[in-house]
Amino acid sequence: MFRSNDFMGAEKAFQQAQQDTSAAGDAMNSSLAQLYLAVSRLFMLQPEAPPETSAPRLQAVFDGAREVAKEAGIDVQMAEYAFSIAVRTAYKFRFEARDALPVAAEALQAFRLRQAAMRGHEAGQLSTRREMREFLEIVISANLQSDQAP
Amino acid sequence: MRAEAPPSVPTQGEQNAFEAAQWAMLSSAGTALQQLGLRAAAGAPDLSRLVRKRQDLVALAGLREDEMQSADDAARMVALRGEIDSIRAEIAGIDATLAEDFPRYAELANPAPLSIAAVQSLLEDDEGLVVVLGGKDDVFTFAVTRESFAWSRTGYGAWLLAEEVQALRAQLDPNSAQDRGARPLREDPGPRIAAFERGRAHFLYRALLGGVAPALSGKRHLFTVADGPFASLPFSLLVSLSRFGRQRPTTSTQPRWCRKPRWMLLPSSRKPPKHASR
Repeated sequence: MFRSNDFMGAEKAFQQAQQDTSAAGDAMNSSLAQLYLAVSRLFMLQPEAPPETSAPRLQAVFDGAREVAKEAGIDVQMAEYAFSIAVRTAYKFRFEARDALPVAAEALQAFRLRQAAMRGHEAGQLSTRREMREFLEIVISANLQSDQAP
Repeated sequence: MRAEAPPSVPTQGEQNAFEAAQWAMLSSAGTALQQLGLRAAAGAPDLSRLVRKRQDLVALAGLREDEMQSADDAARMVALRGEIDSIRAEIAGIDATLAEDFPRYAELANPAPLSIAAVQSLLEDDEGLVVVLGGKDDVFTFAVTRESFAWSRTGYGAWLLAEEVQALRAQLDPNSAQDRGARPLREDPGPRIAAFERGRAHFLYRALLGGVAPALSGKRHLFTVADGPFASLPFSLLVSLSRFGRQRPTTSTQPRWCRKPRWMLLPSSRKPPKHASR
């Protein structure tokens, strides 16, 4: 549904998933569904939507990622995944790396932890870095823009 | 270009950006070369044995993980999981031994980004480090010297500059000339290589180094770490002064500022050596 830009359909599906997993006591998947729900709701807006409308929805994406990371506990891969979703989503909404800044430091920390966790697995480390290249570039942009006036 | 950059303290954002850039550039080639070089240079039987054993275990863990992907028997999967965990534990044990007995090896075998301060501590007064990361939407350049840190970005992706790099390189390489050796001898065969395009070299200079040049002013030795199309770019050929414009025109077609320092290319996962051999 994301690929076909059917964000209303996605919202409905993830709302249902969130309710089901929550009722089943599956906190991990419930938090993931909540994150995807927040992503759907952000992308339902046009990029030029006024900040008072888009900012709370973007904040919900960040909160969703933090909740997934909290539920993931020692599963650093899941935490890294959630934060990379948040960073990419924030960037892709308006193609402004600056928008990812509120979560960039936590995302980089999650990436560091994942790399540390894979120290004995060089191939995994390298493929992760390749996969995360776009994420890293957004993090670089966001951090460099953090020192500039908006 | 001649202005001295004032000492600067990097912000947290700049620290994070510099670290993320290094993560993005820790390449497989760099790691492979490091591992190969370390094994060859180890010279210590104990270290060689441990390194060899570790590499074998890593390979074995990879094989078992592949097997797990295709296993459809639950008992077999549990057995494989147990074996992988045991291999990982053995690798962790070797890592602990390496870290304790061979700390230099452990540091190099698991390359991790350096902080700006750590890089600064490795550089001599007349040295600088230039890191060029060619991204999809931006090309980032970071410059570090003992006393300063600077960065710049292009606002457009590396792919836009790749053609410029390729064209500049073609002007240096006789083998790339289209009519190389194909024509019969004649009175005046003319130049076989296209003339060096100063404008193109200046354009690349401005895009890649213009923003950080003040921080590098006066440095005689520059280490470069560049990826993508910039890995093949001879930085010493870039031209800092435009032939036209407000600056004093020069009669020379030779690169100016960029030729003054010595440029040394580092693999993307290497740190600049203290007292590098020149």
